[in-house]
Amino acid sequence: MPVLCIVLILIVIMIYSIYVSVIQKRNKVLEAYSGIDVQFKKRYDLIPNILTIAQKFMDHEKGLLEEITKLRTEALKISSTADINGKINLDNDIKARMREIMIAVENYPDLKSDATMVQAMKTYNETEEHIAAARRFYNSAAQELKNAVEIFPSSIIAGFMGIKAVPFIQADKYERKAPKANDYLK
Amino acid sequence: MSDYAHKTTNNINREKSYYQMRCDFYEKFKNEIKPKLSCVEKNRKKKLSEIKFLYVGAVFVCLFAIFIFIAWIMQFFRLDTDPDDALFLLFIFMTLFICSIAALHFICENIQKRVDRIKERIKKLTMQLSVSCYNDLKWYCNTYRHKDKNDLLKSLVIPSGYTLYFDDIFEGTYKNIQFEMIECYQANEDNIKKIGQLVETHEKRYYGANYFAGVVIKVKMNKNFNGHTVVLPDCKLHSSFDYCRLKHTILEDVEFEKKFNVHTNDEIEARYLLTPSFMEKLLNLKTAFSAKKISCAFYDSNLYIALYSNRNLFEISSLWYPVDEIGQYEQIHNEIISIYKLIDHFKLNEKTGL
Repeated sequence: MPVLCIVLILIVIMIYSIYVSVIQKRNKVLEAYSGIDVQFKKRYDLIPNILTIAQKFMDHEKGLLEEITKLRTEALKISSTADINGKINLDNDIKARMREIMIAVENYPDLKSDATMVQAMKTYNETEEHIAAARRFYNSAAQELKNAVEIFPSSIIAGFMGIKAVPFIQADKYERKAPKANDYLK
Repeated sequence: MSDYAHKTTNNINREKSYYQMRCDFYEKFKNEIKPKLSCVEKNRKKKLSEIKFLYVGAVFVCLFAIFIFIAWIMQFFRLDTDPDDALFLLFIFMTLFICSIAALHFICENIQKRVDRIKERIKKLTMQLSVSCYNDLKWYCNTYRHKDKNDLLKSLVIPSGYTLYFDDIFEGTYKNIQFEMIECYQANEDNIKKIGQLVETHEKRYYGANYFAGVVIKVKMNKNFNGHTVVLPDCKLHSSFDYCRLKHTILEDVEFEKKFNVHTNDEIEARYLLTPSFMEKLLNLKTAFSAKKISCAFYDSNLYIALYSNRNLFEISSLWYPVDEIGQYEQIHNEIISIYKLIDHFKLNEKTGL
């Protein structure tokens, strides 16, 4: 009888520790997602500054600048708890447009040498690096949660609690496409 | 030539290759330093002959003590036949023996103190001449600003809890990067004869596997950050208590994870700083610099890299060897260049995002 009690207590402790571990992993994913959100917000706050400076010089890129402004406004409307993939897809579009702006800047020497623009671009690049780091953190947390959800015995506990694996962040279609030198060297 | 091309050409001209640095070093040594070292060498020879004279004196005192000891022992055999005489001579010889032992001890300690003083003076002169080969490089010995010492310990790049002693310290600029190179070691106070001084008899400065001895390089990091991240070698070197306020984090590089443990208070910032490229460079650093172990820390906008080493680096103050021979200065040159190579290795002068 006492042996049975001890075994039962041990099983309960084991189940509880697995439960705690799964909850911690889920919370880590939420934390990582929130971290990406923070970095996105930093980027969205920076974009108007870059566009304001660029507008003074880039007369022929008005269409591109307006498109970025529109995408940024849409991104800000999406709440933090919305589907991450939707948010990231929109952000990828913004990133692609900003990349076009950066390339277009090369054609405007006055803009390129403007001290404010140089500083803004430096800050933008740092923000991009932070976003990349936040994505790596998110993928790491997502991997741990996925392992917990798919591997026995934590998969049983996760199934009871309704916790599911979250998708990884993947490279966008622009990043997957290999750059062609001919597009830039004319 | 456009302004941009002109600037780039100047930069290329200003940035010397390691080969060019070596050639400059040889030229400067031959033309400027060696003539100045001749006075130091003369002085060294004079002091060396004084020390040799003291050693000869010590040998004579030692022989005298042995002779007196034998004579003293022989008096014991005379106690039966001539007790009065034997007792008197026993007393005299015992006194003489104690005096000669005391004199020997005094001479040996005197020799050691003199050797230490002479070595310190030679080192000061020769190191100052040696660093004059490099632009913007200064040398200090056994001194470190209290504030910087605290920062070094707070960065957790080296284990805490042991007394920290400093040896050679260099401050300089390389490719517009300000750096400090601090040779230091940690030990229990019981194992050090004189606290705060490096004693020659304790050349092996590792007083156990748990203490740090080597070089810490402090460099201004080329990225802005606010948190605290520490990368430690995968061994039981550092007490886990030091890192209880930092979280252990696991990065993607499997090879890196086998050799290092990462602790940080901001996981995103840790990944921002420890890019895959940086991790690979850290892995290659051990091979490139033949360091036994490496740890690094990002703290207070600085990058600290600790290279563990068994050797006493930057030493050119031997009393027994000529000070004007280029061999030992070449060794110092190699050690300084290796730090420049470290800055190049991590591309700390560039903001490439890698």
